[in-house]
Amino acid sequence: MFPISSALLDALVLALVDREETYGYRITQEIQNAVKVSESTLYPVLRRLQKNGALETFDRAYMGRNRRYYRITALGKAMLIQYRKDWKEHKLQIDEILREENLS
Amino acid sequence: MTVNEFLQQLEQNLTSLKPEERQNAMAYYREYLQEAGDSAQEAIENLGSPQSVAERILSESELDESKKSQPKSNISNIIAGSFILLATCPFWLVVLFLWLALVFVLVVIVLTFATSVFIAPIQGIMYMTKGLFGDGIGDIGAGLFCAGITMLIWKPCLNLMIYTTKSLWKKAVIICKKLFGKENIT
Repeated sequence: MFPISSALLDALVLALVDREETYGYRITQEIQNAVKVSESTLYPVLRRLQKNGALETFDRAYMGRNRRYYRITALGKAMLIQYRKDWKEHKLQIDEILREENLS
Repeated sequence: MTVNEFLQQLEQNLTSLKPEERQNAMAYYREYLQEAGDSAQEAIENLGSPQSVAERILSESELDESKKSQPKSNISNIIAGSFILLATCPFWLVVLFLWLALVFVLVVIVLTFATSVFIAPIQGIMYMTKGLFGDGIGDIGAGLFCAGITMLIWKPCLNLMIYTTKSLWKKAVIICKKLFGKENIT
């Protein structure tokens, strides 16, 4: 219902990868559980975060093939801290306007 | 569309990408569809057409490119740039001339009024010493009038000059950057 910004998407991806090392397909599924984004949105986001040095990749064999895992870097962690702070602030501001008047 | 067809078409749509980037994207989507396993068909439908998936990747990489890579300056660049500059001189010479004319006109207008502020009263006083009081007062009045006009117009004129100069300079810098590469601009 609410459109998701590219900054918020970055934040979500960083948070997921921060929780555990994970791979593209799973990141996409988990993001899609929360917000409505096209499946094709995630690759460019992951690639950008990787190029910016927020994420790094490594390959791990899985069932006889390769699986590319993402891992958060120190820079990524710093970005995530900032994102969390910004989000908290943003949430408070929105809540302040959206809250129901107390009728008591 | 089968998985292989999807991947094939995707690759065809990514030819403008650098090989390294293309391989990375292809590896990602190959793995992605393998992960989807039995629901690969569903995943393909959700992803949309290979064209649109490719467009997403390309637009992101363009953003990336424009951020860091400016055309590098080298001899052939400078020669080509000079040729283009020479070939287009009828256009930019006219612009340059118009700009000079505008600045000249503005300066002349302001200076005319400003100098009259001093000259008219002097003339007025000279008339008065000869006993021509009417003419003298008229000239002093004209001097005051010019002072008022000068105060009113000098600022807008200066602003107009600064504004046109700045915007033309910006355009010139952009054009030179494109022609010669980044290094020539300080």
